Amino acid sequence: MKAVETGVTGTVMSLTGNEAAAWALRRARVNVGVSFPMGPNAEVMETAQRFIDRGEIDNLQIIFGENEKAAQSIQIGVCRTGVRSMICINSEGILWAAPEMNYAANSRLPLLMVTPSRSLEPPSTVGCDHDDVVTQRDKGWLIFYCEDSQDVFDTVLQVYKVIEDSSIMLPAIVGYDGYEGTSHAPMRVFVPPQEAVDSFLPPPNFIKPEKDYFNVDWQERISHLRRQHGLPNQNLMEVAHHQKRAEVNAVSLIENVGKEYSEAFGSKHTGLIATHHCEDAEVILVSMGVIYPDTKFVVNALRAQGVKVGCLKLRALRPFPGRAVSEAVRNAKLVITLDRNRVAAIYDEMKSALYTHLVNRRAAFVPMIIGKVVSMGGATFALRHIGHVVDEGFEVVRSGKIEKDLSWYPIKGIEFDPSRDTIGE
Amino acid sequence: MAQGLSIEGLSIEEAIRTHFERNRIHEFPIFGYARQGARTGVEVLARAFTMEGKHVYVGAKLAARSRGNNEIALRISDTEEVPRGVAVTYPNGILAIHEDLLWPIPVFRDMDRAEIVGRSTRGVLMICTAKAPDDIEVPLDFEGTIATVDADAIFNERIGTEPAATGITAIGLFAAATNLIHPEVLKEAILQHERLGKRARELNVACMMEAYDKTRMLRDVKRKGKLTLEEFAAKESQRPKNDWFTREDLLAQTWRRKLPTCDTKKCVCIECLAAYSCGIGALSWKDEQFYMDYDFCKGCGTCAEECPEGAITMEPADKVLVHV
Repeated sequence: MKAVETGVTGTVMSLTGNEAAAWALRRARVNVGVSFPMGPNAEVMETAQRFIDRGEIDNLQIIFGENEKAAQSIQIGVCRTGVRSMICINSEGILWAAPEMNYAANSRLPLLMVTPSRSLEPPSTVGCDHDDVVTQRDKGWLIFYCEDSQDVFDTVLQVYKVIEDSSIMLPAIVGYDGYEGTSHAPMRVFVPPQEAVDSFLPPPNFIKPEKDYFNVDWQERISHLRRQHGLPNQNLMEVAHHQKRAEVNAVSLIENVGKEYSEAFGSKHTGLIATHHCEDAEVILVSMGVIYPDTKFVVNALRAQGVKVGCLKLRALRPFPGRAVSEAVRNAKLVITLDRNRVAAIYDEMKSALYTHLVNRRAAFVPMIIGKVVSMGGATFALRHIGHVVDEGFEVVRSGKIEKDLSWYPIKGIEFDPSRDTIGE
Repeated sequence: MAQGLSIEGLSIEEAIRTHFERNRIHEFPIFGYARQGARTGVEVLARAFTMEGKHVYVGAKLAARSRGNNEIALRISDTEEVPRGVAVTYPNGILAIHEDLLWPIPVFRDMDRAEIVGRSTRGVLMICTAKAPDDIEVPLDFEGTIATVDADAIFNERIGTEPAATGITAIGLFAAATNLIHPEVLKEAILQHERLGKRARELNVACMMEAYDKTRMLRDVKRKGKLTLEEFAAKESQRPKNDWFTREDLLAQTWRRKLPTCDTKKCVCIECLAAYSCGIGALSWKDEQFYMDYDFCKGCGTCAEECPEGAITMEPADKVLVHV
């Protein structure tokens, strides 16, 4: 038992990321958990099922779809009836469910998807990178990414509060690193008691369509006329515009909910970004997910020796906190982005944010930026590699020359051999 | 490194090492057979350290074919700062569930084991083996404490399932050799480990306590390694002769110990009746002939049970695969 500054007493447990997600599902009193079980997500619903089996909760129904697309459709149906739900799918599964995801965002349904990332095959790996979540970044879903088990627990609870707000009403992904990063790594997690969470996150009361979905007039449902013309006073451009505006509005709400959560439970996993020693840093490392604690470790190690280096974490990729990020890095000389996805999403987003908020505003000074794609498919990216990246960064600062804007690191130099089957074993 | 840092003569590696010491981080690579035993043991350790108020991180990499975790990194810290990932930086020793696991094992995937063993050349070497610490040979030069315990014997005496699941027994060795955690706390943590049944938990507590008591230690050892780091890495990265049946597979697997063979002289059915019972469709009747796809056969033995003529028998896997 541990007393947080706010006086809330809860339990400290050793939980993996998946178990933390299951505990968040339990504390949020989610009624329906939907999934297509595969590695590494299966443990979430397994753990939730164990809560049911032991009789600890009785208001949860777990449904396994025959594939991810079916699972996502089930969740959409469930959400229409005003029930709080969670889906747990990952890697190729998200691509399977992609059309349903568009549907959910445009229909403004507050769904929550929990995704322990896994790389997209081939070659087949049981490793992690963020490709699966990043490919879905422009679907109109809010995207959050967590660094550890505690972060997963805190973020799920906060996100339910954000997405069910009547001004937002958008679906959201809560991602975290699969396998050794977070999903299968036992870590210390503080779990507040049920009553405390209940007072922070009341039962779902989001606006649901007036339609009675339990007594559907199927004649009307299948009418081609409706399919072709939509409902009166609705057109796609307006709908999409409202949806995009809601995404922008979410920025302030995420911060407010974060403040509320941190007051209630003393958590530091709130808001859109986390910064560490960014104020006077010359070089700032920007990352997402499990790389952040490692960068923080190296930053602390170097700060103790007087090296001016800092790091920044994106907790939310959508909405992209462009203003906050630009504010945080504006005094630095160099920004290094560490992307765990092949499109280098953070690199691109950072560049556009710096242009919008600094160059366009005629700022006197704009930091340089270089990108690194790291740790794809679970490749090793250890402390010494971060050290190398920082070292290279200071070399760039000193010489003022960038050799390569975007590079992959570390690369072993294996040659491509078209005669070999990438599927491997 | 290029030495681009703003401060002259500062080594990043050194700064990281100092930070390890400052936060009192203990780091241990743990090698298992990828059956789940080592993983269970380390999960219990994580629970115990969490109960003690420490910050823990367990990084575990899945072995080839998603079998289980055979390479685990355990980190314990006094502060919130715990590095992530399986790659180790400044380990305080190694825990190996079996002596063989310390030596190069050809594997399909790049597990960076050479790097891990290469970095762990000092500290506490914990091995589950019947040998005394005096008789232990090491692959690479080693300096520090060697601790051994015969976990298999302890486990077989009390529980004796095949193959021996000595993960939790081995943490008794860990507690005795490292002195980082009290066995009473471990006991409590095992009893709370809900994935095991009540009886299994109690038996495992007894195993762990016995291992704690029976641990033999030899301090301040300096031992010459049998291999150099290059040799280790080269042996490790050798591709196995048989693509889908390595020695590591033999050690690790609990399935596929026996595989079905068919004596087609005994066959009387027009179509293989046993094929209908095959859960994964590895057994089929192709071109009027019995056909078994050993790539996918799990060795469950259902076909041998179902064959009305007793033509299908289960034989040791290595014998069967010679003829494929």
